[in-house]
Amino acid sequence: MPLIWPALIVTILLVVLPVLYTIWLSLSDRKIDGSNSGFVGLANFQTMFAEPEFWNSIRVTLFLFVLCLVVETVGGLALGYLLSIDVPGRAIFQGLMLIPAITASVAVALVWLLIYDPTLGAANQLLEAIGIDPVVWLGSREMAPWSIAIVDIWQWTPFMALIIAAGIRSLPSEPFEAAVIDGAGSIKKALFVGLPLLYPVLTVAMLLRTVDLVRFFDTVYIMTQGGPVNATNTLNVYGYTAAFIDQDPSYAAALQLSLFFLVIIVAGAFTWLRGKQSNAE
Amino acid sequence: MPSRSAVKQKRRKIALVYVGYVVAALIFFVPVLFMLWSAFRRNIDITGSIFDFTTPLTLSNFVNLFERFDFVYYIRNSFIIAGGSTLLGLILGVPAAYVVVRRKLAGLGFFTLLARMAPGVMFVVPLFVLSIAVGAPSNDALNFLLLIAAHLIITLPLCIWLLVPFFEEIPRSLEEAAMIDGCSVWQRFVQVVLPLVAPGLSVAITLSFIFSWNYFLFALALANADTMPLPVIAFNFIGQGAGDYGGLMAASTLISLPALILAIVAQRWLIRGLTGGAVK
Amino acid sequence: MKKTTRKSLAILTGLGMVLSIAACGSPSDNAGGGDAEGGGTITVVLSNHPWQRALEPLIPEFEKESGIEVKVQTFAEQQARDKILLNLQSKSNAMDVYMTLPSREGPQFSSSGYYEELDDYLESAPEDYKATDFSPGAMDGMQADGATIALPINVEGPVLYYRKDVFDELGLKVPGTMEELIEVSKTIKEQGDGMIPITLRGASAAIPFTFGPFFHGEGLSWTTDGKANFDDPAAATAIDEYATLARDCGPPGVINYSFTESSNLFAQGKVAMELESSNELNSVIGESSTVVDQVGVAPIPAGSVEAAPTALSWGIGMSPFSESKDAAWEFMQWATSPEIQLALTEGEIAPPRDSVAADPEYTDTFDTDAKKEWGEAVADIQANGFVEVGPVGAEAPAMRKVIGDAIGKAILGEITAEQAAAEIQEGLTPLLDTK
Repeated sequence: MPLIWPALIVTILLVVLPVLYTIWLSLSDRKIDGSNSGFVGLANFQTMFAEPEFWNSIRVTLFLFVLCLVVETVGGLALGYLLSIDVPGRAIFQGLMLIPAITASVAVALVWLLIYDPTLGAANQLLEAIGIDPVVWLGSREMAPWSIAIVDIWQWTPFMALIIAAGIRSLPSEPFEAAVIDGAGSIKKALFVGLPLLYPVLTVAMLLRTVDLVRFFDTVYIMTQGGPVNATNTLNVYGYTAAFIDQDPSYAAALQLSLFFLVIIVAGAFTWLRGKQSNAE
Repeated sequence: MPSRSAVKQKRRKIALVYVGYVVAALIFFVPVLFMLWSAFRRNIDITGSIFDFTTPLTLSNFVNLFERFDFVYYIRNSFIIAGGSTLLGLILGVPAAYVVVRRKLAGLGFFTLLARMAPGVMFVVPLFVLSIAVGAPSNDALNFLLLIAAHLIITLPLCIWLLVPFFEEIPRSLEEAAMIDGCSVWQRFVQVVLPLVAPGLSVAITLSFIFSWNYFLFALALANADTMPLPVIAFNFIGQGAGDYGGLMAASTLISLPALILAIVAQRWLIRGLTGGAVK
Repeated sequence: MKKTTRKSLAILTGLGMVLSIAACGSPSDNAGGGDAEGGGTITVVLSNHPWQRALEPLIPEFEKESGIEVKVQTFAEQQARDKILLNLQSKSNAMDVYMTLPSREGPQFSSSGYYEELDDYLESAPEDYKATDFSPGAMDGMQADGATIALPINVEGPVLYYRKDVFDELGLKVPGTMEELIEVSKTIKEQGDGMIPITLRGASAAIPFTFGPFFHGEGLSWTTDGKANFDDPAAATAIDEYATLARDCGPPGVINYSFTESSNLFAQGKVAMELESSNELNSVIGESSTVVDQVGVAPIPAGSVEAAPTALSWGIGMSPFSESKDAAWEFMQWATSPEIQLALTEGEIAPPRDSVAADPEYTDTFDTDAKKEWGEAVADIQANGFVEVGPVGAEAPAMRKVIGDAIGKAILGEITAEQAAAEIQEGLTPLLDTK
């Protein structure tokens, strides 16, 4: 038992105390010069709820979350199936597919900034080569969230696929054989036998992505800082700029707590649905 | 004996898989190649056609980073922070994971989950205030300590999360045998349990190191000019190296190097670690 | 399993080695102010800027002369502000001198006590420092609550860079008014064979600096008696002109553009005109430029009422928490001395001192047309520039964002210029009220 104390104490110091401090900050008024004029009740939250930018950032966050999660899951299933088939060279290919997920997001963002450059970037050169008009990837409010989503989908779909592939490979073969005896085709086999069996693995993978997607930060902050005109201002980026650029740590604390609640709600809802589903079976 | 048509069908399936590989590699690996390639091209070529593969390659982007921007120094900083937080994460996390498994503790699991779900931004302001209170902005050693502690928020839960499945695989009977032999708890842990989870330790070390190495936010807000790790200096470089795309790509390549190397050398461990918790 | 154990051991020992190497000390170990008592070392935090790039190579000279070791920390502008605040809020002695933009953060910093007042230092400065020689405009910008809070290090303001070859080919005249500017841009768009007519700032926080001349040119000032002036119909005209240029004649993605992007595009020869700070001369005629011989520089075109360039001065301030204030002052005095400001003109840093601006040693360096034209434009900025880059007040940064966001939306065509003006008026009012 004494073995666990160090970790427990460190966790309390590093995780619990900051959360408590953030709660205090959100209920008080810390100034730019470091002074704090004390308890102000829910004033920061009132300001926040009245601020259109707060609702915009929630919308942006949820848009990116839903879009990325859906595409990454569907793409991950397809790529995961591919990765689960035994062919020579599979291990090497798996290694390649690991790279986007473990590459630093700063590097990823810098590369995609260059790819997205409206006048000399690779993306528009490619489009031009196949006869499509160039796109202002990060330069319009309609396009920017999609462009950011593409980067996340690029970075994390292979990761989903790796988890799913591992899941597929650990599936028992009997149900499939039974299905073949019943005369099921391969698509039917995959949909009605494979998918339900894969369900637990799939939902864990989706839960992992959910938690990260709601907290979308690095690539957005580096590529657009939330722009153009707040089109990609996720709640996390908004919480950071409020604290460190607008220098309003108390208001920022209210934003950050809301983000935390949002993560808990979304992850909680997900877990609950998952529990309900598996009970139903 | 498989019939000829079955062999043919199998060959066709393999061929199809390879077609899939090529398509996937085009989508998911070409941007990485593009980064590597651009890092070795001259700026004037980078801003030119991406279909021109005849442009000369050069090391000057890297030379520039090391000579003008002293990148060795920032690589060292990254090693200190990622290495330190990995080491501490292990020292604290290995025993904790063991106890979590043996005592079936859910409580610490909850804290770990909390740390995993809380947005990093939420830790930055408190750490910023702490940094001010202890005078870390002006003291490099303290600043490093603070950054290592901050990165522990990443590495400690990760270590515990990764190691729990490995500890679960150890049969209780083995330890009980050691207990009968008169080993103390500590001896039992070090001599019997630890060697059995060595593969898990490798996974935990590699992944903690990579994730800590890659982490951007804490150092962005807390590091001073002497303690900045690579991701922050690369971000800073956007403004300073105005239009120096080659330099930016060279910097990105340097940041990605550990991940690229490990993806080749240790992909089996990494994939097991990354997917293990989900597939169990 | 044995193999993996060995592998992990190897990694562990590897890590151990790295850590012990790390403990052996760094090239800048004498960094902190803590071990710099006695004024032997000072730390200077700078923002990435042409001034900083021109000054850094000269610092060893100062170190040799004074025996003071100067440690320079440079960050991109926003990060620099972050680090400076981190040092100031923690009352840290690790930063002695820092670069500041009083027109932006002056009131905020000043009321927090983040500037060491410099009047006494200035008074006791030696005669050859010529403390009274700074141009009044630049020095006025360095005041807060009746005290001098920083020393001016440059003068800058938006000018129009243009491509002489393109103008010649199309038979165009350099525009003198905003109306002509829009006309010229449209001509280039129609006849320029794919050449982008003009690039200017679209990134929200950066807009006010270049938008100012459009606004002031209509005879408006940001505020009158603490009330914003965006309800004046002329404000919508100014917004419309700016947004039209950016939307109809600007590069794709202009909404994310600030000086870096614009100057890159110009230096690559892809755009015919660039509306940017005079500071960017070095970027557009520097070594990486492909259009060096074709650059022309003109003062920013006039509005319908008057010509109204924006004038901006960066400054260097002293941290009140410095423990080496004398050494810090010595450095500041050196960096803003007539000799150094003259030397800095080689990096195209326009001097905030009248005597240097008139010094033949400086004016004689205008050996190309571009430099000559640039010199005139800068002189005009210095003489006639509006010093208020945005509305003044404790909430200056937020107010600039309000202006930039609304104009951004107008550039994107989401709202009309009138709607943008109304949005700004509404957004500025509560911010002007907070003191």
